[in-house]
Amino acid sequence: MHLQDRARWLGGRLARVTSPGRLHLRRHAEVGFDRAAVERYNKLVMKQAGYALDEPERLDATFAALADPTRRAILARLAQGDATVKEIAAPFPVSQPAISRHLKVLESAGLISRGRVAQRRPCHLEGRQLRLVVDWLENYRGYWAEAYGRLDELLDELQAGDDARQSSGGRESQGT
Amino acid sequence: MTAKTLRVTTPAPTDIVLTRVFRAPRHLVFDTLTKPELLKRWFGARGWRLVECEVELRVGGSWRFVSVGPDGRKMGQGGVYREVQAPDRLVYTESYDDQWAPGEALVTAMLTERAGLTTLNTTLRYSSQEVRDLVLATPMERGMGESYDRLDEVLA
Repeated sequence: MHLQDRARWLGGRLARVTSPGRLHLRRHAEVGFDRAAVERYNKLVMKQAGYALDEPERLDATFAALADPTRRAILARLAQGDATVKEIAAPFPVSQPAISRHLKVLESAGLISRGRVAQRRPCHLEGRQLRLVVDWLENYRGYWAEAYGRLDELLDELQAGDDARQSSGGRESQGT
Repeated sequence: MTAKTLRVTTPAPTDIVLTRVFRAPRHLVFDTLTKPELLKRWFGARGWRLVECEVELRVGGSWRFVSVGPDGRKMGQGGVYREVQAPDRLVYTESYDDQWAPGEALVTAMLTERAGLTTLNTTLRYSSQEVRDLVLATPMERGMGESYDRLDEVLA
């Protein structure tokens, strides 16, 4: 299912590169816990699919840009729609020049673009670069969310055991 | 933060921070991070399961995990404990046998308990931003994200 989702999300670009089935096979054949394999995967699949994984500098800049809470808030604002510097700056307790500096960082990271309309130059969220990072984090998060889900079950079991022992020992059960 | 929601953040260029609340007392959560018989029951995901687990829980003591993944692939990882402070703090190094992530990471797990809930905060610090990003970018078996509606979490 995720391949179809991904193909849809990529706006059909993936389908022109290879069918989802082919991609599926490639990924399972080539991706492991092996750096060379990851690089091959990036070159064969991700780059063709339109990602810019061969531009590590820009990705570094993307992560650095996202590390700042004000910049994340600016991106969240732009997710609602394009806005001018003045509009973006309004809710923040920082000066407009400070906001402009943040916007420059976001722009060089490829996360936003600036319009060409004379004075206004509205800012626009560039979703693709952000999605790439979101994908990484989401994939990583998904892995640990699954592991911690198993840990939840184990902890419940261990506590049920503790409670049973405490009850049989005549002490008050804490309940589950 | 609500229980059972995992937060992943990248507050510094070399770091990944995982934050998760568990409905269990801290000493129990600490046990599940350090006792082989318990680790084997939860560690790993997406078809990866821990099959060998050795833990020498003392400062300078080593740990070693071997996991088996889909298709029977094996992956070994291990390191050395730097701080062991049950039940609230555990610091150790971590590296992988096959070097898919080059170098060593320093992992700091902090546990805080409040009203019967334990917050586990794990910081993974890599040797460089390049390595950190590689770790994040490495598709873990199921590949890149399965849903694309998590912008709020990243931007929170």
